[in-house]
Amino acid sequence: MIDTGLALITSYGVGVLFVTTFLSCLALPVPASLMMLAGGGFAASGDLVLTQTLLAAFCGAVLGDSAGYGLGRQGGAQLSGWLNAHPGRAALRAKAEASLQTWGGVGVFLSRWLFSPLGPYVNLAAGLTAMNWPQFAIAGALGEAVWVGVYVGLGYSFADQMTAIGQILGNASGFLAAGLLTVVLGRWLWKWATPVARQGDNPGPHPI
Amino acid sequence: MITRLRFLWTHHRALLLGFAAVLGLTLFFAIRTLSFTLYWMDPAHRDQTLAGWMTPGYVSLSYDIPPHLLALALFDIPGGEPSHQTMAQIAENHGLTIAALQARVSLAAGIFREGQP
Repeated sequence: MIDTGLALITSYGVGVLFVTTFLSCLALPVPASLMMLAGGGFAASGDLVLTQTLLAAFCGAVLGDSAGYGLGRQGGAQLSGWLNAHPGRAALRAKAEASLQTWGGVGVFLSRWLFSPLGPYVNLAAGLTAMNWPQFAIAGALGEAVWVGVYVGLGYSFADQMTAIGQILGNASGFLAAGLLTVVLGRWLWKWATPVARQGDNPGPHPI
Repeated sequence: MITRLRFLWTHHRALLLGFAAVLGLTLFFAIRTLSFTLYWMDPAHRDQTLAGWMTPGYVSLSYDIPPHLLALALFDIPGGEPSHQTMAQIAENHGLTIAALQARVSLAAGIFREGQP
């Protein structure tokens, strides 16, 4: 699959990168990071032009984010009745919306590159909770610029060690994303169980 | 700690299992990141194995040999300029396997490096 993708870049050029980053923002299993490293490598070897490579990957990613947001927004409109029908669900939704309005910009920015495996789900969540569009778009574009710049730049600078960089970065980003989920979930669970730890076996309030 | 775990196991079992799963994933990726880093730090592992998607320009960069020398190994691509043919296409045109091309490229790289100071 990866070899086929890389062969497509050599045959069809930067358009393949555009399609790959677009699809990766919709949570489809395409090897976008490796393709960008290869794009950078091909720019270094003279098979592609560096500016076109950067631009194609960036535009695909930004459009993919918008598409993910749009899908979430549509889904949100349809789910709205179901969410508001139950006071618990409505409260949870209000809480998620409030935290996205406060932290959304930073979250969207970081989920583009530092925690990139979470990116597509953040797009859907942002659309679902109707996050402020300009805020989402600006934070998203800035984050994608970092993502594309880092991967294409590394591919360009270290073309002869692309496989090494691809494997190390791929696992490191998996580590960061899983680590973030572990910390967030761990904190919630700890908080919920705290009243019980204080009062013996008296169950605390249900969180959701 | 045990009281907390017992409470979570009774009241939020799915989330507690989810926590164990993401913790496991974190450790899994941590070990893989470390082992790949150590593997690739060894200079013996650095020449990239020839693959079907690679172009001559890319191979010459990866093996650090000049394009005109590589062109000879790859059956003389006119002018030795980077060509948009892939290794897979070159191999097919000459009725060879990628492994046979790999042998030619490794030989060319060996000869070139021997001649270097």
